[in-house]
Amino acid sequence: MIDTIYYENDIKEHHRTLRILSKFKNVRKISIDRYSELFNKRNQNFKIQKKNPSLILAKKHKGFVLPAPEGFGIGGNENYYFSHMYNCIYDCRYCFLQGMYSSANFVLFVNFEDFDLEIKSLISKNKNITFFSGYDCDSLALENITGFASHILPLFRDNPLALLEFRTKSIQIKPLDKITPIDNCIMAYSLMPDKMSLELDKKTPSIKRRISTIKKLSEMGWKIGLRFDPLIYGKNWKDYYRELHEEIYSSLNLNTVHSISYGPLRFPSAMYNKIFDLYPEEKLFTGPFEQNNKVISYKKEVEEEMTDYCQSISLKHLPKSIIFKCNYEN
Amino acid sequence: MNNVVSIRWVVALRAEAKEIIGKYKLYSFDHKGPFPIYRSKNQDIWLTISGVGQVNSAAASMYLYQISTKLQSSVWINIGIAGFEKNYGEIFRIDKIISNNNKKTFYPSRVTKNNFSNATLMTVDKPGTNYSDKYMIDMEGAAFFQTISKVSTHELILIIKIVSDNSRNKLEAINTANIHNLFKENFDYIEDCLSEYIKLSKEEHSRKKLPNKFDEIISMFNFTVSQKYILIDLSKKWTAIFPNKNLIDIARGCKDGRSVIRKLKTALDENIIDWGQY
Repeated sequence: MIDTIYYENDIKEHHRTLRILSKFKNVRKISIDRYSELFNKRNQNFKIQKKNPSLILAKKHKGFVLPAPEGFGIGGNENYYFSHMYNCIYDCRYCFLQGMYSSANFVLFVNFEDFDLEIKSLISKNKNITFFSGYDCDSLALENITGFASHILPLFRDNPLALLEFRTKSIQIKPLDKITPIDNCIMAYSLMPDKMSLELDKKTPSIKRRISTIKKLSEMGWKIGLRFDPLIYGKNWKDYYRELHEEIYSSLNLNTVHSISYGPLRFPSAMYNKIFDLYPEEKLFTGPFEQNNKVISYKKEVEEEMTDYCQSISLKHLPKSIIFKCNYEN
Repeated sequence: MNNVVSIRWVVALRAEAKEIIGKYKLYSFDHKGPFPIYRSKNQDIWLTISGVGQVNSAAASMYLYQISTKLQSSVWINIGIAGFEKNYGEIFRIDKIISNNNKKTFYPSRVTKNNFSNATLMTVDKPGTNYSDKYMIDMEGAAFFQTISKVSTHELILIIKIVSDNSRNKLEAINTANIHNLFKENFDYIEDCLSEYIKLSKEEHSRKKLPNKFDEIISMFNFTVSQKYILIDLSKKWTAIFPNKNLIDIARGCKDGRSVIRKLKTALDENIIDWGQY
């Protein structure tokens, strides 16, 4: 899949760089000074790069852990996110990364230990703190190359008061099948009805396979997060979402569900314009949308109807206390 | 200009241009500018001969950009001879360029696959014989990429170099005839590599294209500049939903530009996507 790896000279001897480079025998390896020399440059084209992304191994220097956007949370007082990677192997049409970067290459920061330090420091200062992984990338999709989950999960085992949400669409469950489940680590799966996913979740595992993976993890004892985010509007949406919820709830041990959240489809208008320019043939961007405070979204009444309807289905199976609505304004 | 294929060649020497001019039947473009320009009959392929050196290459590239159709979706190619401690005549696609005078580094895209090897290029200001087997040496590549990447899509910029001299093949032995031969022998590979870029360029052209019949609608009514932008946006969305319908039908019965826009907006607002049909 990957035929080019760029690596920063600063980390060329880093044990993680050496391990990753050794996995790829027949790829072109190119030394660089800083990843910013070739990532997210003016006149780069995300859509073209997405056809054959390269891997960039880099060192992160600051901003290891950042406050989560307003309204993003699953009950904790303090919400933070971290990204060991920029960009994702999947190609979801609603993904904000398409509008955020002009480059689709994967940037992997190999200095995981610096993330650890900042996470530990925040944990020591805050109780009831939640960390989100999988904001600028999928948490598990490239685990066989990155080893990030194997690295970061034990840190949370040692800090049981902090919560970690590992957001993913991946069906590869290594290393989760090799370690004892950690109560404060939530494996959170993004889900939408199959009909919509087939059109919008490009290059991702199907919803059926995701649900089957959720079931496996739940049987292993992992806590599960169900993330209906973004909610997609269209003809017969009620039927589709009802069927999806029923399929999940009928196949899952509900005691393992940690939380459910519903997120509206929203784009900052500048980002929406960039993404629409890349994919003008994409029906998703035809709306019907409205613009409020530079945010493009479905009409408020549509958003509310969708969230309320889906919540009402979940409430038949699970307590209100674990059902959340993301109110982020981007 | 609606040509789908759009290629811009920048070469340093007339001998490097000869094979390209012949293959694509380019003819001299009569103009008063500082660099010789050639173009194809239907103006989809343009070529300039910059002369040797970074200043010439940068100036000629920008001149060609200005004088030819300015399309973000054009493929730009710099092709030329270079020194390298590899086999004489071997051809390489460049994926890293180091400018020797300011130490700036550039990374041409590797999105497309090609069937010849890749190499690093060092661009220098004076010809020399300090050959390396780590990087090729030329006198234009860095300036060409730095200049054209300001106005064109990075992924559509291609730099190809052919080994012309090294410790076994002296710089002094390079002449018009053997440069032409190097190009002739490698031209199939070059066209093969180029075809991948042309494919991308066509996709980009199609992405940027205005919907069918858009021009007709514009000519039917008066639109202000801002109305025109709104119309582009709405008609693209309308075409995404109704790819088989005729945009002109929307305009029929409208009395002015504003009512066309209103009608398109209503059609989009009333449409609910049927995800089940795809």
